[in-house]
Amino acid sequence: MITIKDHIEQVLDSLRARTGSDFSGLLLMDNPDAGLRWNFVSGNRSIRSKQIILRPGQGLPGLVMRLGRRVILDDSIPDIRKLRFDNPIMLAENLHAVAVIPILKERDILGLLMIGSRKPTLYSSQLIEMIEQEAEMLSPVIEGLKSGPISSR
Amino acid sequence: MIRILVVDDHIVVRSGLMALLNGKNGMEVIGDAADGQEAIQKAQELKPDVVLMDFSMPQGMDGLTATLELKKLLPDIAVLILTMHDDEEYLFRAIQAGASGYILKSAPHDELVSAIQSVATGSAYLYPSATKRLMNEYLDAMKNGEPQSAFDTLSEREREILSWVAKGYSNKEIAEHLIISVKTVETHKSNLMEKLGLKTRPDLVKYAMKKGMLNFE
Repeated sequence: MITIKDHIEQVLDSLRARTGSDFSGLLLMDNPDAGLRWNFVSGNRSIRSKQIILRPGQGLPGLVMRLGRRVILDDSIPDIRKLRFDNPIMLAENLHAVAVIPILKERDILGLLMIGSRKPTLYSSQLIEMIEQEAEMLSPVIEGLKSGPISSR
Repeated sequence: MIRILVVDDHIVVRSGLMALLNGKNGMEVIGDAADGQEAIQKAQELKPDVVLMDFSMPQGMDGLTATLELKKLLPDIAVLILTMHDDEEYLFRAIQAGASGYILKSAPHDELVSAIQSVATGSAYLYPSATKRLMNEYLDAMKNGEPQSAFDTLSEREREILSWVAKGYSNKEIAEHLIISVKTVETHKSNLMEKLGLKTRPDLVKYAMKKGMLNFE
């Protein structure tokens, strides 16, 4: 029998393959005050990416919360190199570009779905749409996770 | 406790900001509004210390108009513009409208917290590159010779006469020195005092001292 955890891992592996990305991850906004971390990752080079704890407002989750929408950090941004230093996951996984999509339920951000590339990348709008569709489908899955303890890969 | 009203047309942003700010760093989010009109109503009702205001709210009254109205109705409230627009035109318009600060949504969270704390205590807050732009604007105005103060509106002759009067010379003595009529000196003196908003000779002496025009060596 497939568990929710297994399902999420499959989604992340598949998303990484379909988008030609080096990395994909899911962050759950279950208790931001206690610190946030990338609960599920695929294509990670080290365990560090899962050990990073972000304080409320910090890093990519903080940016998505302030903007209320997706964040794309790719080659279209002139100071992308500088921005990497504000985002520990990019440093830990040596990511040159990331696309982070909020997983929404009404007014709340349930989590973040991210893909990342270790080489300079320019994300197309079609690719971003694909990740947004995936994020939409993950919304009820994350709600299902809330009913039980959150385990991670 | 700093009491905050969050104004943004995007419900997810309002929710996110409330989650990030409420109950932390001595801050309390006491309400939220989806457009400028609602912001004014809520501000009158809740009397926040700081209004965190989005600039563009296409569905209702925009942040700029709301800031203007709020500052008229509740001048003690500090308005901090929180925007995606890293654009000097927006920045200058916000300041003219009475905003106490201007910060980008992409700014680090600690900077947002510090901006809220600054404007709540009556100080102004601008993000670093905005400060640089304002300085550039000021320097450009200086280079282009735009008047920076009443002093800059004085003609060369009026400045000359200001200096003589401040040093204690009579109209007649000044007229003789500059080889002009006493009546012309009186006219210049009257014009320069009007331009500087001064009424008496002691006022004029003080003014000249402040401007470094008196040298007693």
